[in-house]
Amino acid sequence: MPAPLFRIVAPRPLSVGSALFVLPLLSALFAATIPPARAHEGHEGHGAPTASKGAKAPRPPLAVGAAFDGSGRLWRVRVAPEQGGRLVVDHSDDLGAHFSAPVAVNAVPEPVAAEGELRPDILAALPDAPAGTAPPPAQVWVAWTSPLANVPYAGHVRFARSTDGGHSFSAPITVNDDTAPITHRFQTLSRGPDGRLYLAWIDKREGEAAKRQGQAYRGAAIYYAESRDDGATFGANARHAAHTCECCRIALANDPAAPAGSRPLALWRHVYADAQGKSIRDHGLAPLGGIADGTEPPKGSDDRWQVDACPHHGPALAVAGDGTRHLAWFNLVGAAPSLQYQALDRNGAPLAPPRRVGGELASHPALFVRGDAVWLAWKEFDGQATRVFAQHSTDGGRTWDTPRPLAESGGASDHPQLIGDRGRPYLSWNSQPEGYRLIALESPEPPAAPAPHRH
Amino acid sequence: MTRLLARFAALLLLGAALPALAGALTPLQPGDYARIKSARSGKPFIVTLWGLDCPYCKGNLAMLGAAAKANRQLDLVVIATDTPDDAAALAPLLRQAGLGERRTWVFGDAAPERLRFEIDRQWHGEMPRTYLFDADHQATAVSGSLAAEDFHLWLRRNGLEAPRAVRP
Repeated sequence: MPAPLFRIVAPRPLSVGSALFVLPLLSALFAATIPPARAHEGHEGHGAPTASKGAKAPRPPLAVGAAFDGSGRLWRVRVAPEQGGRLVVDHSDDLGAHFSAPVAVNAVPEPVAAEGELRPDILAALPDAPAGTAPPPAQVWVAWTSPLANVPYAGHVRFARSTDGGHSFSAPITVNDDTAPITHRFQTLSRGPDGRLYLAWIDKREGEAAKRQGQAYRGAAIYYAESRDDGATFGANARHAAHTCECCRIALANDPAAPAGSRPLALWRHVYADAQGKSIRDHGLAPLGGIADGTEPPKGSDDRWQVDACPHHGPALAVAGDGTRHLAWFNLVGAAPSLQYQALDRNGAPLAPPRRVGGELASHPALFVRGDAVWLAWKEFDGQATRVFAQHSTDGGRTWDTPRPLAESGGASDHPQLIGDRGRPYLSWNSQPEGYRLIALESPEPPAAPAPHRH
Repeated sequence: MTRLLARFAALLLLGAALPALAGALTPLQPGDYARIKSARSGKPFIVTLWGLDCPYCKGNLAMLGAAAKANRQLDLVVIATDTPDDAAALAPLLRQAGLGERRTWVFGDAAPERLRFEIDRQWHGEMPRTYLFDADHQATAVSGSLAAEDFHLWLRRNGLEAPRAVRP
């Protein structure tokens, strides 16, 4: 197993000198505001606190983005508290055992959301080179959400790129063209086989406009933008879907069976309305920009979870070469929390009923597909430890092997990601005590039918 | 030692960020939830979980805050699932909900799943989440905004319906 090469130290950097200076000024205020933890009510008979190194620490920015560039090089983006909270990119040529010196993406520090469903994204690719010439440097694209301080739910979708193999990054741009201090968050970055870049995010401009006119608006919306020049510029924002959930990540995946130039397929938690006007939080499934005006998006799940709440559970999506859609999502089915998986054909027709995955504590799925081979990963917390489990199917998701634990953490952890290197799946997972891990899901022999960029 | 000092100073700075907050925001640590419950043995109470990242929490918190303000017998435990670092952002929302004078809680552990598990292993983090505890500590769990009629039923069942006290 690769040694954990970076650990995130929870407290922000703070010089002792400045701490001593403010100490006397603040001690009076301190007493009136945040009491020491041990001043809790009902603490009689207080035993030894549960072992938890992270106790009292703010939540660490554990969400890490990772992707391979097609040459076997792993690229990673993360928030670096040791660099003033800047985003940094590094890369590894030995499957995560060693990483290059990190390069700052944003020269000017800004808040970056990197926890739970909010993850900085990274993609990398080598440009085509004429035969016999040296391979050109990789292009690297990074996208993230920058939350606005003290404005709940507000943020901007930010983007930067490197055209020199990750040595330097362009000045970050804001991709949302509505710049009001409202929700533009939960971005997902995707790249088509033709090289076009897509950014989709949760956007509240319509909801805010409705509110100003005294009207109600169900949920939020998903907006997207497209770049046809390798990320030098993005086109105007367009709406993908109205009435989406406010707080769940969006899954994007290329559909190899779609015509050339098609936008990626999106799976997201939608807010449908039932006959009584109550919110039903099922998932919508449609290509970006592929929902006709005034129609409800096609359903990717049909559990009818009726709730006005923020689940913070986004879905996973992977599409096989023949257009088979593999979906995984979390919902309450009746009263039972359920992580589920289902395969749909290229027209969206179910190939089998949804199946329950993992135990009642299973959540935050990830999917990877190569032909008929499908991998599904998720995490479960059992009261002591968090484990990432994986299941494998060799027949397009009809039958699955027994779930096997891939990794474990005794502390705070990121949601698991499955990423591919030329068709081979890896778990990318970060956790506070153990650090970053990249774990192969397949044994080292070459895959039978490597088909990474054929589509 | 240096790190300890820095941590302590960070905590102090945190305090300085909210001089207007009269109530106290206490970090919830593993084991605290069980203590909150045992301190209320034989008594009805309500636990509500909310967060900055939850548009539906505002209305729910306002309804419960107003009810608790109007009825001093209503024992309301308010827990934010954010972090002690978010105190400055939480404070105005607590004030708006009429909870500025009260002790409330905020998740104090770096691993939120640990606290969620202690509170209710059937709860997967969706918010708002409210537990209506009867005196015998039978709890009704509600995801999403608490319906006014369910709230009234619980108040009546536990003899807490004061005249003109609750107007959600």
